Amino acid sequence: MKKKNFTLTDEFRRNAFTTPDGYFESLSVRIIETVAAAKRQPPLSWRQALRPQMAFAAGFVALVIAGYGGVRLLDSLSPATDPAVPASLEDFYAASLDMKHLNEETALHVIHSDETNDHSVNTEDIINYLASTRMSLADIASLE
Amino acid sequence: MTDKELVRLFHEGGNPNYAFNLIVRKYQERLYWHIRKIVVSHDDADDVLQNAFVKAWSALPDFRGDSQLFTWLYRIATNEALTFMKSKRTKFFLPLADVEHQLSNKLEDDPYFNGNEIQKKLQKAILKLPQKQRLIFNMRYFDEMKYEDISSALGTSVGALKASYHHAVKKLEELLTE
Repeated sequence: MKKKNFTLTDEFRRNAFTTPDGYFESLSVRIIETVAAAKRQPPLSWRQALRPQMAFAAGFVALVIAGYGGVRLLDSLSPATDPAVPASLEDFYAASLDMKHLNEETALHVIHSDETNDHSVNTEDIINYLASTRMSLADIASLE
Repeated sequence: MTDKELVRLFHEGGNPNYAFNLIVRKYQERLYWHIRKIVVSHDDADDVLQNAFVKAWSALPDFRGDSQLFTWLYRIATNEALTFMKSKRTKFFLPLADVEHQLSNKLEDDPYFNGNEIQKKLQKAILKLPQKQRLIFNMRYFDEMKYEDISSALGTSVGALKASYHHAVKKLEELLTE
């Protein structure tokens, strides 16, 4: 579709805004009254002038204090921190090293337990179990 | 009575209230329409106009007639209207574009707007202009002010005003081209 070019001509100059009826008749009286009222008002002291800013600052400080208090309160009400959960990255690495050490000990214990534990699983049971899986006999034989 | 005579009457006539009353009667309507085109709403324009005259009253004792009275009043009215718009933005934490968008929506159900569809479109398009261009366009196109007078009221050079007005017209024609 071809665009219809718009040209700003004088026909659009007409004021499209209106006012309530009789607005301008009473306007000067209201303006003079407003000016007279402003003249009667004493100039603001610095305290009065700063009152909104001071109220805002006080509100902000109160909010910060309330927020801090709320966080402290929640901290005190929450259960003690789980020692298993590391508090920081360093604690995590330390815990990992301990775990590794523990795993090595456990592994050794499992290896040696076959010799010491009376209730350990015997070799025949292990072979039967492995045979029930799809492990080949050659692989089972290689374990022995 | 000319502006110079009004200013002289205010300073030397012994009755500044009377002189100020005459100034208000002479310029209230012109300034109202100037403010109204900036703030759009009638109620806001009424408030801003009152404030502008309060400012004018307190500054008139220092006005020595270096500029014309009416461009001086225009400057006060413009500053008041722009301050009002700024306070509206900061009060509701709005960017400028959102305030103009709100004003544009206001036109839809404004009981004191009786323009036809194309005039409504024109007003909405004017609200899309940058603030300075909008001011210059309104003063030149609707108020039919001379560039020299706009320059005195806004403190911008005549050359820059002409360029801004030209850009504003081009942009409006683009916006209104179907």
